[in-house]
Amino acid sequence: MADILSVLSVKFVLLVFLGSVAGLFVGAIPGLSVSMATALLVSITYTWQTNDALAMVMGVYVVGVFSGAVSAILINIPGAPSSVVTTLDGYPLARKGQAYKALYVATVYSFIGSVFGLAALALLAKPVSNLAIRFRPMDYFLLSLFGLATVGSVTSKNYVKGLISAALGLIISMIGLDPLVGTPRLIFGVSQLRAGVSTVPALVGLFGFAEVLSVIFDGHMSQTVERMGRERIRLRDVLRHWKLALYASVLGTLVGALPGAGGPVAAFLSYNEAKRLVKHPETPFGEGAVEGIVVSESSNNACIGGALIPMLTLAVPGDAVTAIILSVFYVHGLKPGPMFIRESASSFHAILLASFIACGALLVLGLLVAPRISKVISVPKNILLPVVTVLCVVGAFACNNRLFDVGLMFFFGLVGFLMRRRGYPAAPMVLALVLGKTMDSNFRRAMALAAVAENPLLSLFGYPITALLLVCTVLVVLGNIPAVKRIALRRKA
Amino acid sequence: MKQKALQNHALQEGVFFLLMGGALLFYGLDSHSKSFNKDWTQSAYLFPVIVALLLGALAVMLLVQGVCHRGAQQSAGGDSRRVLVVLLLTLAYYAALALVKMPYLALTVSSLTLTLSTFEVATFVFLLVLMLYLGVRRWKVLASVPLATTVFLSVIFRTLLRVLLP
Repeated sequence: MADILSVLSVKFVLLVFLGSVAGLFVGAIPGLSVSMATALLVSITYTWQTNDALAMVMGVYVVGVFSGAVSAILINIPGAPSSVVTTLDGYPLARKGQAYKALYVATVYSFIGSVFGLAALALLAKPVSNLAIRFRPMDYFLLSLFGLATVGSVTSKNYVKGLISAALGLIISMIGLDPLVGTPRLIFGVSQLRAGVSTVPALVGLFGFAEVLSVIFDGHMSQTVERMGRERIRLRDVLRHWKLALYASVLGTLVGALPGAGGPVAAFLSYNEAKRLVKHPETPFGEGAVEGIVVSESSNNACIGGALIPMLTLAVPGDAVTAIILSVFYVHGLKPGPMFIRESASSFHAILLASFIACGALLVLGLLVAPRISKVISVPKNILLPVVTVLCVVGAFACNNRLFDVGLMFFFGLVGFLMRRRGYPAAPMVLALVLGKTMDSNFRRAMALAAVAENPLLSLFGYPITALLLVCTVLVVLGNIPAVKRIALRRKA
Repeated sequence: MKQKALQNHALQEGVFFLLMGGALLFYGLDSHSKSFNKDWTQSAYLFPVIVALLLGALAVMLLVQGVCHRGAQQSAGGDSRRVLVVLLLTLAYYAALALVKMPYLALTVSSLTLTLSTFEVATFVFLLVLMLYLGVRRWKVLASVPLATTVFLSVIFRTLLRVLLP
C-alpha cells in the first residue's frame, strides 16, 4: 500500500482527472473514440515523465469506456463499441423519459465493474507474472496467435475477413529491420521505413481518420438528443442489482483477460446471461430493462482490469485500446512482461493508482457532468470532423516529428475506411501490428531451439502450457469454421 | 453472369489478397535465396513466407465464399464523391505543410507564445474550407471554430506541451 501511495501527488491526481474529463467527452461524442484519443495521447505524452503519461492515459481509458454509455442512452449511438449492448435498454428507457435514471444506473454499475476488474488486476497480476516466467518462446508465439484468432472471430461476422485483417497487420509489422538480426525487409528503398511503420500514425489513421471518412461517406451529420428529466432516484433502489453486477463483472474480467476478446464480447455474453437468469424483469429486455444496463456496463468496465492483466504480465494486449496502451509503454521505454511488476514496480503502482482514481472521477463525472453534456454530444459532425482531422495530423506528426508519418496516417486512414466498407475489422490489424515483431522473434527463437533439439516436435510443443495454448488456438479456429458451427448448432437443437 | 462474378466483392478481394500473398511469398523466397544466411530457422524471411502462405490460404477461402454466394452484394449506400473531395482537401493540406515555408512569427504575452507559421495558416484555411464543404453556413461558426482550434492547438502544443507541430 505504501508503495502505491508513494506515486501519489497533486499533479498525478490532476492529470488523472484531466484525462478522465477528456475520456468523458471522447467516449460520449460519436465520431471520437477512446482508441483514437489514446493513440493521440501517445504522441502528446511522448516527452512527459512516464507516470504522468500513465496517469493521463488511464484516466482517458477508464472514463472513456464508461462514457460510451452516455451517447448510447441519449442518442442511441454507442460512443464505444463496448456500449453497443447499453443501447438495447438504455435508449428505450431514455425514450420513456427516464434518461437520467438510465445514466445514473450506467454510472454506478460502470464504477462497480471498473473497481472489480482493477481489484482482480491488483490481486492476479503477480501470480500470472510468476506463471509467465515459465513461458517459452513458442508459448509467447502461440498466445499471440490465440489472441489474433480470437479477435478475428469476435470483431467480424466473417471470420476469414477477421483473419485477413490480422495477416495484413502482420505484414505491416514486418516492414523495417527484422528484430533479431537487423535485416531490412519490405522497405523497397524508402529510407524512412527502415525503422518500421510507427504504431502511432497507423493507429491514428485506422481509428481517427478512417472514422472521419466513414462518417462523411455515411453523411449523417447531425443527431437528436433525448431530453433529460430529473426524477428522484434512491441509491438503495439502484444497488439492488448488485448480485447480477458482480456476476457480470466476473464474466467481464475473464473475457477481458482473454487476448483478443474485449468489452463488446463481455457485454453481449453478460446480457445473454442476464436474460437467462432474470426471468421476470420489471420491463422486458430490449424495452428499457434496468438489468440490461446493469450487466452491460458492469461487464464492459470490468474488462479494463481484465485486459490489463495479459498486457502487463505477458505483453499481450486484451483489446485494441490496450494494444495502443502497450505502445505508450514502448514509447516510454517500459517493457511489459513477466518481469514488469518487479522491474517497473513504480509504473505498475502508477497504473493501479491512476485507474482507481479514475474510477472515483468516473463516479463524480458520471453523476454530475454526464447529464449536462447533451449539448456537446449534439455538436454537428460537420464542425467536429474537420477538427478531428487536424488532431490526427498533429498526433501523427508529434511522435517522430516527421511529415512522412502524417502521410502514413492518411494512408492508414484510407485503408481503414476501405476495410470498414468491405467488412474487414481494424482491431485484428492493430493487434497484429503491435504483436507482429514479438511473434516473429519468438517463433524464430523457438525454431532455432527446435533445430538443435533431439526431438524438434517435442521441443516445440511438448510442454503443458504450449500444448494448452495450441489446443485453445486450434479450438478457436475450428469453432469458427462454418461447417463445424452448423454441426454444433444441430447438436444443440 | 460474368458481370455478376466481376462485381462480387469476395471474388475481387480474394484475387487481390491471393496476388498479395503470392507477391510476398516470391519476395520472401527470392530475398532468402539472395541472403548470406541459408538456414531457414535463422532466416529473416521465414516469418514473411509463413504469413504469405497464411494470406494465400485465407484468400482461397474468400474466393470459395465468393463462388458460393455469387449473387450476394454489399449495399453501397454512401457518398464516395464527398470522401474523394475530402481526401483531395487533406492532400492539399498535407502538401501545404510539406512544401510551403513561411517565416516564423511569434508573439509572446507573459509566458504564452502565439505563433504564426505554415501550420497555423494552413490549418485555419483547411478547417474553413472543409467546414464550408461539409455544409456549415453560419459565418460566426466558420470564423470562430477554425480560429479557436488553430490558436488552441498552437498555444497548447507548442507552448505548454512543448510538442513540435508540422
